[in-house]
Amino acid sequence: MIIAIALSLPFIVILIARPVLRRLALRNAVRRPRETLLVITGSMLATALMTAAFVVGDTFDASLRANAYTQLGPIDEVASVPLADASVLDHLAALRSPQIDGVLRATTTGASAAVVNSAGIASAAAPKAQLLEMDFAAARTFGGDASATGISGTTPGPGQAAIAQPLADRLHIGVGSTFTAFAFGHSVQLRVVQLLPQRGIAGWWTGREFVSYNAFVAPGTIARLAANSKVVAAPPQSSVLVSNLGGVESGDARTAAVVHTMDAALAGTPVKVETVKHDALDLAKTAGKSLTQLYQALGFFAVAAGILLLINIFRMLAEERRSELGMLRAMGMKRRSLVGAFASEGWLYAVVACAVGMLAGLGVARLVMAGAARIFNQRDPDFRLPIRFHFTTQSLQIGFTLGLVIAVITIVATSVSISRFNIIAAVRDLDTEKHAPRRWARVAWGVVVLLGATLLFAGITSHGVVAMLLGGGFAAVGTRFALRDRIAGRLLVTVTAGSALLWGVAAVSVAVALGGDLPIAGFIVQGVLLVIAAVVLVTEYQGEIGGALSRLSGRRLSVRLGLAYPLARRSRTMLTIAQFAIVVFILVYISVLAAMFGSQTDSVTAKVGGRATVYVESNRANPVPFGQLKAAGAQAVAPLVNVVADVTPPHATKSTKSFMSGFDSSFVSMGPPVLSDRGRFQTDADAYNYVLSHPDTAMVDDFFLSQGAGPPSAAVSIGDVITITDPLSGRSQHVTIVARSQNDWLGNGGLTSAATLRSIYGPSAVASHAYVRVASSASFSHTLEARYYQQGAKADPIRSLVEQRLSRQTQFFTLMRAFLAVGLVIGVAGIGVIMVRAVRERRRQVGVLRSLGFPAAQVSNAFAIEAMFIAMEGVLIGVVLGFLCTWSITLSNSFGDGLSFRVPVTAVSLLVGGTLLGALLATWGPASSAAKIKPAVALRIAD
Amino acid sequence: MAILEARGVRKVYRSGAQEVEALRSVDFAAEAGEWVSVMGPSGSGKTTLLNCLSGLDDIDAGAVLLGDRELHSMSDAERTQHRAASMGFIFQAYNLIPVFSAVENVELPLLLAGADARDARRRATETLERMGLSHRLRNRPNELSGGEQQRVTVARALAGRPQVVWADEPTGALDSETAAIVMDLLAELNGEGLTLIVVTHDEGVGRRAHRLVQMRDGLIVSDERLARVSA
Ligand SMILES: Nc1ncnc2c1ncn2[C@@H]1O[C@H](COP(=O)(O)OP(=O)(O)OP(=O)(O)O)[C@@H](O)[C@H]1O
Ligand SMILES: [Mg+2]
Repeated sequence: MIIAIALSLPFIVILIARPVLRRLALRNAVRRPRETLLVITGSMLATALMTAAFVVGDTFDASLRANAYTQLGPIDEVASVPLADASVLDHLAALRSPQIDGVLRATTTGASAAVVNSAGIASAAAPKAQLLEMDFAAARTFGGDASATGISGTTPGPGQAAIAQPLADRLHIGVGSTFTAFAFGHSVQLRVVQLLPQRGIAGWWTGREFVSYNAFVAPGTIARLAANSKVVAAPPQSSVLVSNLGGVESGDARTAAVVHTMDAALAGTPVKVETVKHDALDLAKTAGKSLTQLYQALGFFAVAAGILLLINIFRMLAEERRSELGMLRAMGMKRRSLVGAFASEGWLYAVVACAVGMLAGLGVARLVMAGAARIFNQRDPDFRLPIRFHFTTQSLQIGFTLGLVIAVITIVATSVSISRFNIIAAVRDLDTEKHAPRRWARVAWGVVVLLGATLLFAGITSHGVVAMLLGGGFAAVGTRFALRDRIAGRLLVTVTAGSALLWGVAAVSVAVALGGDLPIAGFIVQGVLLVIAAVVLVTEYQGEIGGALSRLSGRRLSVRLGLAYPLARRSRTMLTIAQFAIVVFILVYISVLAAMFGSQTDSVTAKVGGRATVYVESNRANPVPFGQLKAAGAQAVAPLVNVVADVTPPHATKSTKSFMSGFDSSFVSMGPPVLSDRGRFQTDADAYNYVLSHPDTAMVDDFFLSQGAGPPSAAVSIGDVITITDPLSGRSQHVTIVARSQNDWLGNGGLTSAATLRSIYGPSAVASHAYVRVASSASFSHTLEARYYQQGAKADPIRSLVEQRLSRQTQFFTLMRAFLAVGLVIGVAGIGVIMVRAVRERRRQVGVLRSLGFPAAQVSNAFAIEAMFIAMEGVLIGVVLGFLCTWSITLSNSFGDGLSFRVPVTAVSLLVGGTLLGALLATWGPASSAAKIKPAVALRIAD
Repeated sequence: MAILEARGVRKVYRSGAQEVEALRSVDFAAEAGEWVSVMGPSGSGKTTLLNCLSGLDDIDAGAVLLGDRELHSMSDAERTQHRAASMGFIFQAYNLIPVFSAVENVELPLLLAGADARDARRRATETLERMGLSHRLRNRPNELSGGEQQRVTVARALAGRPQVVWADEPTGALDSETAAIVMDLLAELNGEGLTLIVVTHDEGVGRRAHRLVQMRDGLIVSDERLARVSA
């Protein structure tokens, strides 16, 4: 905000202190309200997109935060141990400190719950439920605010349960109903005495799901269930919950101090304090930020189009006033004042445009999040994050300020560049002549070439695609200008722009071949480099293109006239073409990616499933007896140990929660998931077998530990050593990563041997998941879920899991495209603005043409042809570049092998057709108004 | 025989509540091959007369007859066609299409009248050569001097061999020497049978015509036949 004000100050001063300049600026703005409106519409779009990117992040952040409150409430820290060791926490449970306003003991276990009829058949089941025991009176006083705990009523007695709303919904039960909870091979009948909201302690959930299927039971119930466990199951846990002094959010500031106190109370025990609230808030912040970044990065292309539009608008404004400005200069107005007057007018537009854009950004974000909510709703209901639309004033301010900064820089730069005209040339409307570059300019461009070459070299040695692309770009631009008067212009432009184009396509493949990856910044630089090079190239050959088109049309007069203007005003045409090209490029790029990923069901199923066809999850406290599945018709069964681990990546001090899965030899013999990088091993089986026989090794996928959206950020690579810690016991082990898979769509987390996990987790490491091969996966899944509801079995054909995942991904791409389509609006609005101005500029010429006998219909045809020519060139460049880039990327395998290039014919035709139609519609108004120009009136207009 | 005859032509400009009666019942006739000068103080309605009689502008009352046809009862398309076929216009300077070269500007009316492209180019080149601009064919208007530009305009008006050429202050932006060159050209063409109607402030230019029409406050106040000074 301060930046925005500081930036605006000079213009405000000019507008207040210099009445002549003020009158000049205001009159021009007010004189033509319709055009002012167009200018503002055109320049607000970039701000709208930037604001939207921030608000999307805000919303995601707020949704995650809101969820943290429903599942944590006043809880800030938790320390847990297996129930058998509960006494370890006694000391902590008695902790008193001025930093703390709540300490609460609780016992929990995973369980499954079901409503079972007299025939023993479950009419409704909650495979992932949680049983909790605590003293309700104590729970209510936990933290400063009883209502934030979600706890009310009295502690349930034997056979009673107070259940959280999600569990009631899932089982379709209410107060007075009974249901059965299953754990440790036992069951217990419970009568619902109370319903609790999913809020605070009542919503406390130790799993990673967003929904809390909680049932609070009488103290002692869990211990009785676990006492003679009939199965190998993860034991119940005993925890101490701590609330920091202060509200639900403000207590976070005391986290470090409280952890310190708790650690002191736990001295001599291996127990680790988990800063659950802090971690949740942190995750919300990171996730929100990364989403903002993703939207910003992609939105960059549309914003770039917006900047081009702004430049164009201002140059047109200036061109129109050229003789007026020339006259002012001739009358003795200083160049600085001229810049001031012109820039002040621009600032007026910019302020209004940015304010409007900021509000429009809220609307765009709202639409994007509505789309996102629909996509989230197709997830597994347990992982469904309720989207809460939210924005911070800070985001609005940043959006506004960024928009204003970009606009003001553009405006001032344009004003300065147009104020450097020759007075005579301006009055007579001559083109400013080009002079040979001065010596220092040549030296400066030479330096740019050197810089580019250095960057290029550095990029190649460090496999950094951004440096490679930037270096190539700088080298090309530098060469172009340094040798301007040495080599024939056309040859020079062709060679430099041509090589920049080729390099732009090839660099990514080269970088990937060298072992680098493609960060989102590289993607942006690539797009910009390609578009610039292509547009420069096309502009250079514009004459030939126009000539060919005009010949094709049989030298029709309206075609000649329509092409004459864009050919004569090359720089303006170039900017407009670039505006279309850059947005169409990214849209085509995303469309091709979406098509490539969308058609991957077969290959991804084969990759993530190996030779298995069904994926089974069950309750850790009551796992499915996988040994029985062979008898039930399974051809092969590979049970997996599944645990939640604190994983510390190399060189990091903080751990991240992640699933880890442990496999045994049945996994290898069944045919495990395909590896994308098997490191030093000859075959996948070799790698898996090595991990089986080496307890200090593991494998991960490309997205392991990455929390952000977007392409994999490769937090862990082969050869890295990570630390796996059991959050309950605090035991840990270092493991070395020896191979990688492409993704983890089934949710295994990292993979190591079951033995390794048992050595870390002890009895908590139970085989609760499995890969199963069966002939008929759908009916098998169905039967399995019905038969093992007590174990909380959840079975899905791997193919349908992959399909769901792919469809979500495709929808995500669609959402991105919708967001970027705002950029197309910029292009279309741009051509509208330009044509409106073109008609205005050329009214007198139209008058002359009409007096010569040029029919009215042909006048509008000529304008329409002009607009379509520009739009079509831009769209074509974008489409060709989009295809080129995606095609080259499939060659380099940077998105994983097996991805084949695909042309999404419908999507691209819709895109091209829609854009051109939009451009045509935007031109229709100005073109028909040109046809209506009365020659007698137009001829009276002074130039 | 009158090539053009106007009867009771009235023209009112309306801008908001204001009305300006620029022509109040004007009668005027021009014979084929005649050269008529129109003079009068600024604002007297000369340009309006030219626009209305040539069909560039609509009128509020009266009629303009071209032989047996009434100009203002034609549709816009017909009038446009008629202009392309038989009229030429010369305005004050700077009325060329800036993105077209001299020769492209001149061939425009020919193409509009339906001439074959090669033919049009040949005739445009010939006409420009006649105007002494053979070395300037490919230049854009902003690369030409004011006099050169005006000669291109004259060439453009003449290339289509129109019956009538309307000129509104054709020498207004030119120095006297260049003005004389342009006027000599027009006189020569008039000698070949071209009908010329020239609005001018320049007494010398006005007096070269066959007839001099004086306007004041939207009315023709005098119409005198002149003795030709020179050919
Ligand atoms: N569009 C218009 N709206 C209102 N009044 C107009 C318009 N065009 C011309 N007039 C008025 O009509 C009258 C005649 O104008 P016209 O241009 O025909 O004069 P003129 O004799 O050509 O003058 P000059 O010698 O200065 O060119 C003037 O009073 C002028 O102000
Ligand atoms: Mg006049």
